[in-house]
Amino acid sequence: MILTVSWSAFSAPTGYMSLASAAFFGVGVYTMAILGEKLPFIVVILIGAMLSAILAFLVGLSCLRLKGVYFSIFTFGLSELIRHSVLFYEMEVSGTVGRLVVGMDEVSIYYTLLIVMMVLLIAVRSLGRSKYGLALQSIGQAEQAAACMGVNVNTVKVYTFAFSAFFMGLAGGVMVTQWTYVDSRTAFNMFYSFMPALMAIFGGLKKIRGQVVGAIVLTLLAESLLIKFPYLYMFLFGTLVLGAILFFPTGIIGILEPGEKWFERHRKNKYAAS
Amino acid sequence: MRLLEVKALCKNFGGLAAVAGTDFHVDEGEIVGLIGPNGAGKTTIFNLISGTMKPTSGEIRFKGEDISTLKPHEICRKNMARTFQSANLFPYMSVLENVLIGALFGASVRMDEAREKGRELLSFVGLSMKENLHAKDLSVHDQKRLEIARALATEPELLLLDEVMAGLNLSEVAEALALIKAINGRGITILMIEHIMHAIMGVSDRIIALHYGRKLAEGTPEDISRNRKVIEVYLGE
Repeated sequence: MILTVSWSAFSAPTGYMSLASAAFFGVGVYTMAILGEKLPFIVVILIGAMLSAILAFLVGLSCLRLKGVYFSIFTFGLSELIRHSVLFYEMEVSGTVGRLVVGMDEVSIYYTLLIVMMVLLIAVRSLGRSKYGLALQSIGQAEQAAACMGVNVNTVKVYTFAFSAFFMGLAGGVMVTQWTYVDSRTAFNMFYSFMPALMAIFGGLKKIRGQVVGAIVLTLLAESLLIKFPYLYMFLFGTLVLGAILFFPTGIIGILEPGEKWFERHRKNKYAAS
Repeated sequence: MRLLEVKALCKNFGGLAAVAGTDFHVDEGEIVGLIGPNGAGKTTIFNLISGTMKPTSGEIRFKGEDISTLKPHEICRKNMARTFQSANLFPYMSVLENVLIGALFGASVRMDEAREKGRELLSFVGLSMKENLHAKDLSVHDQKRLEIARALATEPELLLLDEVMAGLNLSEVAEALALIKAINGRGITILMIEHIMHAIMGVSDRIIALHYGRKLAEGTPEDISRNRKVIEVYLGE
């Protein structure tokens, strides 16, 4: 859910579909794996998040000039590159494949994630309402016009990209304490790149609640399918998601919208009457 | 005073010279028309001046400063704004939000000021009643007016208008002319591209005619309409 909302903070308004979430998540994971024992937990998480943001900043500078599908492919390639580099480093230099991570009890993980989620939601919401939220939208809809209206297009894009990576790094750092063991394949799993995008599109890109709903529903769906149909899991899951995107292009939230509008009108009428 | 001065401006696209050594200037307070057949390089000149494209060679001076290497948003903040030939609005943002972008980033005012200013400009161009509509739902005429309002929100000294009257009917053209005069009355200098001859002849102080990226003629509307070379280019003999 954190991944989904952070991904959407950048990709939904601008239309730049990033597939590098796994890279930013993984940086958080590895920071925790390497520094976890040496420094206090909170500090390590924040360092991981900062590193993610710095990585995003550098990546953003170089590749946010690319548009559309080129940008997606570049970011996808980037996270694979990092995954393989980490694997290479671990095998050649440190002579291991995976690392043990200091675990945490589930309750503190839960609360830490909850806090991160809250901070993220508040941050994204106020960002969306600020002038930068408007600027992001304008970039997504007519980048050239935005530039000619005085919006520093590159700066806005790069900083937002880093902002979204910061939270992905946070999520990575916290999540890994639950696993107790990581290697580069789990930390930089492509899954973490595709799922946020899928969840956001599934739930409804345009609104934060859509992204949240999408994340919850898809996670539950994936888990329950996995339990009930361990062999057909991927097949069923894929079909469902495909169907949802084909038939409900505005996401789950989009289905509810007409009802919502009716409700609002109804409420307004009632106010008008009283 | 010279507000804009363009010297030996060139832009090549591959082997094609879209702008091939053009010189002209715009003085403060003027309305200058830029005319020429399709492919004469008019819009390319606008793109070069506003920073959307980089010139191959030549010089563009705005308020005495060379701006040819600046980025579009930097040029905008130096108080020059433009509209686009085919309306280039933010389609899924409201009419007011479109104008807010110009005010917030071009003129760097605070949100509440920007709103006030935005509403004032919308009523100036006649879109007050439509501030909550999506920009994409406006008629062509209204979209052009919104483009102008958005550009004005950046507080320009020089406004570049790229065919704001294309696709409008006669009465709408008359309205647009009145609007252009009113903008000029606010002390804003205007450089405009237009194909509708009677319109641009009626409103311009001075006209520059382009052909194949070169300046063909320059003068008052009367001079231009009597100029043999211009008539040849436009009417073929």
